[in-house]
This record gives sequence, C-alpha cells and structure tokens, in this order.
Amino acid sequence: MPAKLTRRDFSERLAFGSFWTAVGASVVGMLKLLKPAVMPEASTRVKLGHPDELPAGTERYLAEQNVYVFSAGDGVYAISAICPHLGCIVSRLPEGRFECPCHGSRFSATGEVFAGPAPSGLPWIQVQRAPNGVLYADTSVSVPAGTRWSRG
Amino acid sequence: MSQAFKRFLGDVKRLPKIFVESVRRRGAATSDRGRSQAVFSNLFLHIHSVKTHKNSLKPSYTLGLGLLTTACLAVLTVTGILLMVYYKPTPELAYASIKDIHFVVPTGRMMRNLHRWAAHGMVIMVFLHMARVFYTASYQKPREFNWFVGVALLALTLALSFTGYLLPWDQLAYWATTIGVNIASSPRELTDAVGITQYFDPGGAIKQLLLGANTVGAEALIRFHLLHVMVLPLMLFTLIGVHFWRIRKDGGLSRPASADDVPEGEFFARDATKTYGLMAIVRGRTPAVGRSPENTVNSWPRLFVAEMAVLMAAIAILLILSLTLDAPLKEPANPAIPENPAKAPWYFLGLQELVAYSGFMGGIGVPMITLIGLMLIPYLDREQRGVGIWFSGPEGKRVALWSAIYSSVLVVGLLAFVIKFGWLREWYPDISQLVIVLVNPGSVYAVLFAAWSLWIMRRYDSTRMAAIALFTCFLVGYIILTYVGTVHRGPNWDFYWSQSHWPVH
Ligand code: HEM
Ligand code: FES
Repeated sequence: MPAKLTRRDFSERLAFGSFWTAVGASVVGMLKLLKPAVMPEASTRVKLGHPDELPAGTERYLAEQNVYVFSAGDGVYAISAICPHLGCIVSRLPEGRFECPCHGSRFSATGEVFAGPAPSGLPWIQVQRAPNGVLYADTSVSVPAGTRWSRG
Repeated sequence: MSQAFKRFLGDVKRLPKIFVESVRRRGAATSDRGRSQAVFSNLFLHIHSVKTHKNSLKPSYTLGLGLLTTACLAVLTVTGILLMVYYKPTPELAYASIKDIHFVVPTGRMMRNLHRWAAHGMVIMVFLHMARVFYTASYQKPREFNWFVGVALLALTLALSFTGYLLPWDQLAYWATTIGVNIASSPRELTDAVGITQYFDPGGAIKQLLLGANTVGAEALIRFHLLHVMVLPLMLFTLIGVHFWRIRKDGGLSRPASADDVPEGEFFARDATKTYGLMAIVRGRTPAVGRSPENTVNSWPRLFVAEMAVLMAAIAILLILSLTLDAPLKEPANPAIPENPAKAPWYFLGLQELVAYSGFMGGIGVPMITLIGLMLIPYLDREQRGVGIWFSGPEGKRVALWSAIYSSVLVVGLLAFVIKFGWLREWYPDISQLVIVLVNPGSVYAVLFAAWSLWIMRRYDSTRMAAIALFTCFLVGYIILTYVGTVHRGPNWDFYWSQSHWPVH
C-alpha cells in the first residue's frame, strides 16, 4: 500500500517542485542567449560573372568561399570543396577527381564519394541568374547533384 | 614605566611570534595531540584526516598518481593565469599575442612551455590514476560514486585540453578544432541517413552552440576561451572538491582487508569508542569505529611530507621539460588550406583513427559507449572481490594479461587489414551510410571486446574478472590506436612507417 501523503509531505513536494521548476525555467531561458540570432558571416552570395564570361570549359576556384565553378556545354554548376566528412578542404587532382587531405575521402569529378569516410558526396551549390543577367552562386543553398544553370 | 607600557613593549618585541601563534592557534607539534591539532585546526591541512592508514602511504599502492594529477593542475592554474595577462582572444590578435608571449614577454616562453607540458602531463596522469583505481578494485562499494565523479573529471580534463588547443590560432589549432567541432555535429550522419535532419538536428545544434556561427571564427574563439578559462575550470574545481571530500567520507583510501590485521603480540586499546562521539551521526564506517586497533600513523608530518615530495618531483620534471622542449607554434590559421595532416592532440589521435572510418561512430559513438561504460562499472560489478589488491589477485593478473594479448591481436589485425584492403565503401561505393555507421572498425572492436568480457564472466563466474577483461581491452586498444595515429599517419591520413617517409611538398 502506498504511504499516505500527509499535508506536510505535500507542501514539501510543492515547495521543492516549484523551486526546481523555477531553476529549470531560468536555465532554459539563459541557454537561449547562446544561440546566435544572426549568423556572423560574410554574405554567402558570390558573383560569378555574365554567362558569356564563362564559356564552356571554364573552371574556376573561389578560394574565399571554397567553391569550384565549372562551365560545361549545357550550363554552369558549382561544387563545394568542403569535405562532408569533417570539414577539411578537398584538393582537385589533375585528372579532375577530388581528394581530402584529412582522412583520405575521394570524390569523382562530379563530387560523388567513392572511397573514404565521407558520408555523402561533395555538395552542389545553387547557381542562379539575377535579373541583370549576372550569375551568382549561393554557398548556403545546396542543390541535388547535377543541378545546374543551363544556357538556352 | 607603567605596567601596561612594559607589556606593550614586550609585545612589540614578540610581535612576529604572537602573529604566527595566532595563525597556528597552537604550539609546535611535538606530541600526538599537537600533531592532530596541526591538521584539524587548519583549514587547508584538514583536507586530510588526522590519521592516515599505513597502506595509503605505500608508494606502490597509489603510485602518487592522483596527487601528480593535482600537481599538474596546480601548475596549469598558475601558469594559465599568467598567460591570460597577455593573451588576446580575437582572430586578429591571438596568434601574435602567443608569439609575443613566446619571444618577448619575460619568462613568457617558460610559462607557455610549463602550461603545455603540464597539460600533457595531466592527461597522462589522469589516465594512469584511473587505471590504478580500476586495477586495485577501488571503485567498489562504498566508492562507486567517487569513481563516477572521477569519470566526469576525466571528461572535463579532456574538454579543457581540447578548448585550449584552439587558442594559439595557428594552423594546427584551426583545423583540429574544425574537425573536432564537425565530429560533435556528426549525429547528422545518422539524421541525414534517415532523412530527418530538417526536423531534428542535434548535431547542428551542438555545432552552433560551440561555434556561435557556421564556421570556426571570432565567435568560436571567444566561446572556447570562455570555456577554457572560466566554465570548465570552475566545474573541474568544484568536482575535485567533491572528489576529495568523498575520499574522506568513504573512509579514506581503499585497502585490502588484510591491511587491518593486528600484528601478533602488539598491544592496543580494544575500544575506540571514546574519541568518535561526534561521528555517531555520520553513517557508515568511520575511520576507526569498530576496527581498532588501526594501522594508522599521524598525517602530520608523514603524509604531508610524502605529498610535498611528490609535488616537488612533479614540478622538477615539468621544469626540466620546459627548459629543453618548446611548445610548438605553426603558421597562423588559414581557413583556405587545411593543415595536412591535421592532427588533434595525441590523446585524441586514437579517436581520430576511428573517425577516419565513421565520423559518428569514431567521434561520438565509441567515446560515449566508453564513458557510459566506465561510469557503470562500479554499479554492475559489485563483487567486492580483491579490493585494494592489484588485479584482485593472481587470477585477475592472468585475465588482464590475456585480455591485453587478445586486444592487441584484434586491434593490430583489423587495423592492418583495413590499411591494406580498405573498408566497405572501397568495395561497395554505393553502400548506405547507415551500414557504415553501424559496421566500422570502431564498432567491431567494441562488440568483440564486449563478447570477450562476457565470455570471461562465464568462464570465471565473476563480474570483477569480466570488468578487468573489458577495461584492459579498451585500454590496450586505446593505446595502440593512439600510437598508430601519432606515429604512423601522415598526409592524407595515409599509413607511413615513419615521418621521414612523408612526401615533401
Ligand atoms: C582531475 C582529475 C583527478 C584528480 C585531480 C584526482 C585526484 C585524486 C586523488 C589525489 C586521490 C587520492 C588517491 C590517489 O592519489 O590515488 C584520488 C582518489 C580516487 N580517484 Fe581520483 N582524481 C582525478 C580523476 C579521477 C578519475 C578519472 C577517476 C576514475 C574514473 C578517479 C577515481 C578515484 C577514486 C575511486 C579514488 C579513491 C581511490 C581509493 O580509495 O583507493 N579519479 N583522486
Ligand atoms: S574531412 Fe575529409 S575525409 Fe575527413
């Protein structure tokens, strides 16, 4: 049989219960401070130039954003050089593949992972044309592999 | 001359003596009573009890390891405060301020070196101390909770060293931290694999909390600095207070039952009821109640002298290291080019080895399993077998030896296989990440270690033997992985027999 809950037990529980609830609520409130309201970072949009300045076959590396930009016959696309494993910067080998210096993940020329610990391929980055006709890449927006801005 | 004036003059002459007496509140410790008072009438000395068991003073029992950990911490605290005088936690100034400390500030290099070597020393000592406590079965009742506190201290020690690693803001710092924080966010590997990251993203939340941004930058440096100089030290000191207090409340250090045997023919008063009136309100075994005659000696001066000797030895070794070996400083941090190889501090390289197969399992899964497993040991092995005896006796020694061999063969074997033939992704490029998270060298080790431990439990019908098996497997595995990560991994995390074979670039 459960022990009878006396009036004193009850008020004791109430006292401790409200105390810890107040402590908990304050902690949750204070933790909110730690979450940045605005991410302190440079603009994620980069100007790539007018499509005519990027003839098919062009390859560019934007060192500041760590993005590779490629122009092929049918369009322009961008691949991030940040390794999806733990965030090192992959390097591009002469034959077009990518390799990560940190734990040896290897990626094909289109960013698919074929060896190493990376859980997924290199992210593709959105490329869009602004109304003034200039192409922009936005490193904060990743798109399914194969997505490109196409001429035509 | 009036009486009062005479007294006054006399007191002026004896002023130093009167002052010292007012501090000590007693005369010289010439009697046992005086020696007891020396301890309990002093706030700082009464960290110890008045009497210390002879067994606790045997150097071969504690090996002085807990104390050496404390010594390193003391050096770290003092040198850390001095470094803070010049260190500036912003990306623009951090590197230059460390350089100043190293090359310009008087004794700056010495303080920086001391801080670095004491940090390495503390990590080594805390591991060894844990091993000592484990192998002497000192975690058993009533010390379960103090072991639990100890595991938290271990985690805090490692967290302190990790947060300190970023502060110089050099290449190594920047990239090791980038990798470390991405490990913390690697639950994403799992949430991505099942496609719920959008709704439930603990990995991303941890990363934002640590970095205050998406990448390692000014915000991250401030947060790491704050953690390193305030938050974690406060937590560490608080818990060490609990740790020390519990040692006394748990009846002093553990010791074998035989340590309380009465030596033949010696005479002792049979009853110790007299002196412990106050302790009647303390539950459990107090130091002497019901177990006289005790094999104890006065803490003052025996214990204190022994402790001072250990402290001085520690400081002497740290000084020699700091005079001969400089703490490293690489080029300034460059977010565009990863350091290659980007190695974390050595005690994390075992994990970095596992991370090179699965970020989540190696960086979160295995460490979590290890920490939780460590915390649970005293609650699941309650045999009280061989407390205070190294390996709990010859059988435990044998189990430890065989476990060490089993673990070495397993770890070296699988590692050699993986280095030679690769792992799942190399054979099946399209394999799901979920499979890799579940089946990778880290998880294979964990499962095979657990299986071995269960087998030992059946074979010896003892949870203590099973605990020895499991602990030894993990310890040996950790040592081997750390060794491989430190010595045999080079650029691209490729295997090299020695650093002289690294490609030049
Ligand atoms: C900051 C880290 C730590 C410090 C400064 C510290 C300090 C100490 C000291 C000075 C002692 C006295 C006995 C001796 O020197 O061996 C001790 C005992 C003890 N420590 Fe720690 N310790 C730390 C971490 C740990 C860890 C990681 C564990 C285990 C997971 C642990 C578990 C224990 C236990 C159970 C005792 C009692 C041992 C006995 O009764 O024989 N401690 N500690
Ligand atoms: S960060 Fe690229 S393989 Fe680990």
